Amino acid sequence: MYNLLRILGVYKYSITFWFLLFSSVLLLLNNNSFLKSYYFNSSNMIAGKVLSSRNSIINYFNLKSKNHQLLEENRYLIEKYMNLDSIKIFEIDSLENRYKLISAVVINNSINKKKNYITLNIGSIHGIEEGMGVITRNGIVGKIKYVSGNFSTLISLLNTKYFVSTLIKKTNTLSSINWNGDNPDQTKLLYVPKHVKVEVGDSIMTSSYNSIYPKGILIGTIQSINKYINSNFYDIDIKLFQNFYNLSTVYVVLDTQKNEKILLELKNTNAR
Amino acid sequence: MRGNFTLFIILIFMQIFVLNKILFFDYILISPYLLVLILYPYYKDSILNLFIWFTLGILLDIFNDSLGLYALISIIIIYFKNLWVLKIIGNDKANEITLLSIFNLGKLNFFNYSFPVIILYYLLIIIFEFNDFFSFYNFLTLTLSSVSTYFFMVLIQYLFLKSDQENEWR
Repeated sequence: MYNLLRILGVYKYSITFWFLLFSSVLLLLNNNSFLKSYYFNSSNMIAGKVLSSRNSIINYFNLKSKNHQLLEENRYLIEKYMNLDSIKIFEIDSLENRYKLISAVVINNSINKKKNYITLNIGSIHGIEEGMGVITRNGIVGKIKYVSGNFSTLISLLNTKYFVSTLIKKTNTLSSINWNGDNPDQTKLLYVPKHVKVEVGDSIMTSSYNSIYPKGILIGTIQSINKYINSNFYDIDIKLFQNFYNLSTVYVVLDTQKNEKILLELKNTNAR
Repeated sequence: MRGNFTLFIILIFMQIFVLNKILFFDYILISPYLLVLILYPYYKDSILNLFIWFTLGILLDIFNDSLGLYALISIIIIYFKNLWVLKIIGNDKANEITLLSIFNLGKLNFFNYSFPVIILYYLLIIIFEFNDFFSFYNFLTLTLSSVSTYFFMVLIQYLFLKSDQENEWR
């Protein structure tokens, strides 16, 4: 026993090194651990506070461009309002009932990594839950991943592990978009079979299949199409409408009929 | 030593709030945190040191949303660095020096000591944070980042550290 303790004493430095190395590898590989989701991400109390105070300083420098942005958004909404007559009334009604928006400010954002995350200044107190979609007027931003009391982090569209179900507007073809990690302005459009006719400039919008985003939010346009690859699908690049460099205010989508839809679909799978 | 401490804090703040977000010219990643790791003096078999760097790494990870990455890198670098500096300048000098800076080691020795550490750092970052390891993009990122980080380090040291042995905050 004494010898064992002596050996441990001699090698205590190496043992500590290996212990810490092993624990950090465990932390790194175990992506969905309890620790990570509750304490060690940027939506926790301390990091959130620091990031939001940093953001409040930076905000002063952006006031002018932000005012401009809000003005543009107002203009767009007023335009929509004025043109309401031309749209069927019942569609608008059902849309109003189903989706509600919660506005939020981005307090931390990155675009230079392969797996980017964004932090928002609102959390479960404000009614945010995991799995909600986040949009702006220019398209989609991502999906809420972790929520704390006052803050929440979301998995950005610029994350190589994030797929969004989409439709090509012209032909209503179901497809998915996924970022390949290179250019923050572009994503790939996946699973478009070669018999479907697509053209450069076609709009891509969200489908309503995953009940995260409302149907019909425009995401981007097709920038280039490569037919000559060894696959049944096209290789398509999309130019995004949303500029992730200057993301400041976003809206979280609250789908009031989400639970109803999921419960109904669950019944289906149970019956099978 | 207090002056150095201030410099360390400033560099870590730079890493968290400024340079963590920036990729210069699509390829170059500059890491002030690595300078802190490199300047930090040699302590023989200090368990406390390992824990300090592990916690600092976790702190960086919290802001970076990459739990475990910087903790892992810090631990590996501090272990490797402590072995490597002995090879370069020997045991006696390593124990004597309070700051492993370019002034205390000399230009050639500092290059020999720091460059492999820098390369190891970016290799680890690329392995864990970037996609497909064997790509030309990653190779360019590795080389350009290493070279520019080395020049960044030299620049910071000439700006903020005194050239004599005392290393007071200027």
